[in-house]
Amino acid sequence: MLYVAGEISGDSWGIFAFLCAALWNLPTVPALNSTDEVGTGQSIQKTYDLTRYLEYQLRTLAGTYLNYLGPPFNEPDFNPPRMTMGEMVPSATVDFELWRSLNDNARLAANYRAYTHLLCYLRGMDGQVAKAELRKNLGHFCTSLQGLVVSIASVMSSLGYPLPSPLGSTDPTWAQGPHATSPHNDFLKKMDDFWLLKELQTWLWRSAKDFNRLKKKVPPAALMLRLEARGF
Amino acid sequence: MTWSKLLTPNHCRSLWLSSSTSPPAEESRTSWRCCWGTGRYTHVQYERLGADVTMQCGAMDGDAAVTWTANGTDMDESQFNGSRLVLRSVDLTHSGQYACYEGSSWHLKYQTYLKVGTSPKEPVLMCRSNNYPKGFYCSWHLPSPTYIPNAFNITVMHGPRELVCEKDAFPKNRCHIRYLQLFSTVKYKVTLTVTNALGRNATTITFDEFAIVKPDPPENVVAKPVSNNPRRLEVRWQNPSSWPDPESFPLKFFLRYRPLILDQWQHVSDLSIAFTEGQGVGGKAGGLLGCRGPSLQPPPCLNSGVWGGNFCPPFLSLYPAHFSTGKQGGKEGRGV
Repeated sequence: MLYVAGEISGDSWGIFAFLCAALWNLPTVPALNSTDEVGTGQSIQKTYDLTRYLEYQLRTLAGTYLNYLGPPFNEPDFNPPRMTMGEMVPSATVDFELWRSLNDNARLAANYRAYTHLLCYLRGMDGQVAKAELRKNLGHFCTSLQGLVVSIASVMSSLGYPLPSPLGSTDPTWAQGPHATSPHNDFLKKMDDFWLLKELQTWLWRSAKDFNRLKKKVPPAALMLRLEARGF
Repeated sequence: MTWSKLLTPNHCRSLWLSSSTSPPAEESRTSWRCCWGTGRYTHVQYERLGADVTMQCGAMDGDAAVTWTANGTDMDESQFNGSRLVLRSVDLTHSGQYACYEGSSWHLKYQTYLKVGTSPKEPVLMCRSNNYPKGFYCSWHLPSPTYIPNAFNITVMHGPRELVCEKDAFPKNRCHIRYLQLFSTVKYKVTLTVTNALGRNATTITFDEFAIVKPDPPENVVAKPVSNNPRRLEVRWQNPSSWPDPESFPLKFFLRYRPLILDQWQHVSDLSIAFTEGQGVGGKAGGLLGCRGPSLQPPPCLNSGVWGGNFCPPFLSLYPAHFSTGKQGGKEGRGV
């Protein structure tokens, strides 16, 4: 999705790659302290609330951004065929039975991976936007989305699940969009942006349901974990 | 009295009129028709409302002497043009059976059933998922009648793939689709074509999976006074039975109530505890007498479709500023 413009030098790419890599190697989230008042259940609730809030924020942001891209992207019936974007970002689309049968670890990991990728691409998008106001809103959204990623990581950590490793290494090539090799294809770049927002919207729609399932299932396990920690 | 097949319709009729008995029942009138024809419709003709219709009497010459009948009744010769029947600016009353008989022999030369109607206007199509995540249904109707038979054909596209929409036995203008995948980024595109003898029309709608989710109203809504506290009402309800999985896809309910003496609805704000099926909620009513009872509407916070794109606040039990007063999706409780 990232559009490699001619002006970006190798140094900038290096910095960018570093930022993306840094996102993967988040500083260890402290495990729940046994004296911590905030239970895992409440963490999950907060994560759920955050997805709902982001869903709301995205609605405004996407509307503005698509208008910025101009027609046909901002037309309500715009329904283009899916291109290669799907390979870059883990898709939210899943078979119902499969989704229902995901264990907590898999469920959380899928969310974590998705938002980490999405955040990275969004940050790439941010750098390209010409309008200052839009850039500010994007930036704000990115910050909130980062909060979501951290929140998910915190839940995983408190449940004792390892954070998923990045799909590609710190090699920046995986962070590039499918059209990185054709830097002057403006339309395809816009298409990528369109699909990114679409994927983000769908993931947030799905995550609310993911976390809702987790809300119901997790608290007893969290309690057990705490008891184990105390040596019972 | 006996009659043979040589009797003309006029004779048949005049025989009846001269009889002193009361007019024969419908069945015997039908059998009279046997003496001039089988009464079976072999030809149906559809014509546009307001058009001029000309009927030829089979292979008869243009100037031959004929008699036309409409539903068995002789027609006035002023409407004939030689052996042809001319109906000007037809309306719905012109629909019926027309027959043409040769002048002297009363042989049936031509018979047709005329149906006056219109070509279809653009149909109205809507799709909705009241059983998410199982699937959704689409239903349609014509904004105005055509008065003649119509055929409907619906196609559902999901990206490049066409999905099968299974027609419901009842109602007939509805079909349902099962979701093959959840959380799809690809839009659904549904096209409905309506065709009849006078023309065709079509409409298409496109939507995202989450945009059409709208559950049915809550069921068994009952409001009862609380025994020791007449200022309180206990309301109970159940999830709509069409919603398949309230565990994974919980519904959020909004409750409002209005004593009859007031015009404004009051919203119960703290329903955050009352999401489980059948759980009661205490609500204040302004006087039990004449209290109409609350009306429950469950627009789920899962989607924004019900509120037309307005957000559903995630962690506050606020209601959208405008609350739909329509009955759609709502249900009156059986109050005191």
